[in-house]
Amino acid sequence: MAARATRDSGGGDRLAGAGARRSSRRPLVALAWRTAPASRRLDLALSILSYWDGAWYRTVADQGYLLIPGRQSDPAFFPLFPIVLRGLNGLGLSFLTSGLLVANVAFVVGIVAFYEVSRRLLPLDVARMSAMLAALFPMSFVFSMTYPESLVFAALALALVFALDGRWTLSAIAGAAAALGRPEAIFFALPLVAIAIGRARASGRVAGGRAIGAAFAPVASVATFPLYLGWALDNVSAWSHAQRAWGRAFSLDGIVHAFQQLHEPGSTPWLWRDVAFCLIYLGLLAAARRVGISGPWLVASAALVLLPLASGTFLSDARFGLLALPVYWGAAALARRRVVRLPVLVVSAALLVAGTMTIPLVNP
Amino acid sequence: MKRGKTGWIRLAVASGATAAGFAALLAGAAFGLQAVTLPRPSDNQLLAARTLHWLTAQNAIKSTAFVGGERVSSICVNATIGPLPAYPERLHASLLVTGRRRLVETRFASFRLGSTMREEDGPLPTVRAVLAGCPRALGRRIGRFLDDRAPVHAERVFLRGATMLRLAFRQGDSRLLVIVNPRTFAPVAVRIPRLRTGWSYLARAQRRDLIRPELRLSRRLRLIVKEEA
Repeated sequence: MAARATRDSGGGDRLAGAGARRSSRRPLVALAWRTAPASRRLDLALSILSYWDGAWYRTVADQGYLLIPGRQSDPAFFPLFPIVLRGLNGLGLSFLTSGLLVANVAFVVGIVAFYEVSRRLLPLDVARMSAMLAALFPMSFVFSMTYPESLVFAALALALVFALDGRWTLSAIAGAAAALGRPEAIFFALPLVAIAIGRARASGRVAGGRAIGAAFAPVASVATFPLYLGWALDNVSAWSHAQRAWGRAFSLDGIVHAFQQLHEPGSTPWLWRDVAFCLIYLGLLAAARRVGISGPWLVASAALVLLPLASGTFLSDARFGLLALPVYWGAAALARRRVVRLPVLVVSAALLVAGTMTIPLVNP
Repeated sequence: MKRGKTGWIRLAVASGATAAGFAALLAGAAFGLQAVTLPRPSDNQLLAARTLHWLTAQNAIKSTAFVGGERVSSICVNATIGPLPAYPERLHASLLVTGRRRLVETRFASFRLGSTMREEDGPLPTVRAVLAGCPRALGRRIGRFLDDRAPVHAERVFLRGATMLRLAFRQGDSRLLVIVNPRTFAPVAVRIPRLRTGWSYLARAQRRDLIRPELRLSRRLRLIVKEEA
């Protein structure tokens, strides 16, 4: 979210203010870092992981949703992460600690679950490499931030593992949870349907109701968010109103606007990072075909990377694409040869460190 | 085992029903989880949000206040301003006209318009814009209270023979009173108690209000300030 809204859009107050606060705070952060004792430095480093949208998720967890017309407001953020934060806060943890804990524990679970998905679909060496690359991917620092990405990544991977094992109830619960975290998770209904049909064919039977139900669980779950907003705020379309205030409005010519925005005066040069990652993701999806990843996976992932552009901006596409699991399979396929493997891991890790350093500068 | 046509249809219907039931069960659980865990805003905060919604749809508001027993009328029109040396991008602004005085208020700075533009320091220009009901300035003030989830108190009051709602916002030292029409949520009066100002009475500007000569800017100023109404 953000950049277009940081221009004065009449509603851009809060983010622009936050952006201004961040940039004016940068020298202070540097000074505090230099003068702080080692223990305080750890606090400072951890607080950086709670920057940007993390504050919005904490607001929702603490105070719930409220659509504030004409201003950037929190119904733009999906509810799973705040719900988990609120639950842990009830146990006595602060929202900040809960956020960091949830994000990082979920990331570990997600990587293990992703390895299990990969192992069921691909040769063992590719599965192992893809898990390593997911952990060291240049944008993976987002998984350690107080964002829902790691939670959704874990839930998606678990939904797919359970589906591949035919445990449909667990798959449905994990898929529904993923879609409550980020709406993009609904695209994974496609591979889930493909798994259900594939398993039914293999056993010579019709796909069962529970299997189909589990495949559509993410779709059903996403639909409950506007219903909840309708109940809580008397406004079923609060999510899309809030998105508009954040500078995102889905339209048929949204992709054209996304390209136009790149050349607008005053647009942030960081947009080019998102463009570069968008292209990298598409290239890696093409590479994933080489290891036999089927159409439904690729279509779902391509939609996950490309559909946000229909909202008129490339902004944050680098982050959104992190949930396109076949991307890591594509990267692993390219790094399959032993001579390439180590350099790829080293470069990726170095870019991850560099990416982490950019957190105070730009919204991921 | 071979199935007949009816068998397949029965199986498909059973599968479909199971799938739909299963998905509905999950959806119900997901909705319940949100409803049970997340706090809801108060009804008064929702009322304030509706007032803000009404304000965001307005381009011009006229107001009347009584200062020292004298009636003072203003009109405030949405505008844009820029580029300025300190603000290279165009900014959303409010153009406030009170008598012959013209003021441009933005989130970052305020300017007095004469034959040229002069920056005005201090919070007074913003206060004037809020009291004049400038949609952007008043909307921003209400929006900040809502951003901070400040408590909103509402009570019924009578104004000009009609029942209205008085919304009271309070956050630390900052207070704002707004009387709104309970049917349209349009603000009809506004007051900042801390400044001991009286009520300002607001109304949507009509077409004839927008052709006042004071709203006409010189060609040079028009290059910088553009009205939106």
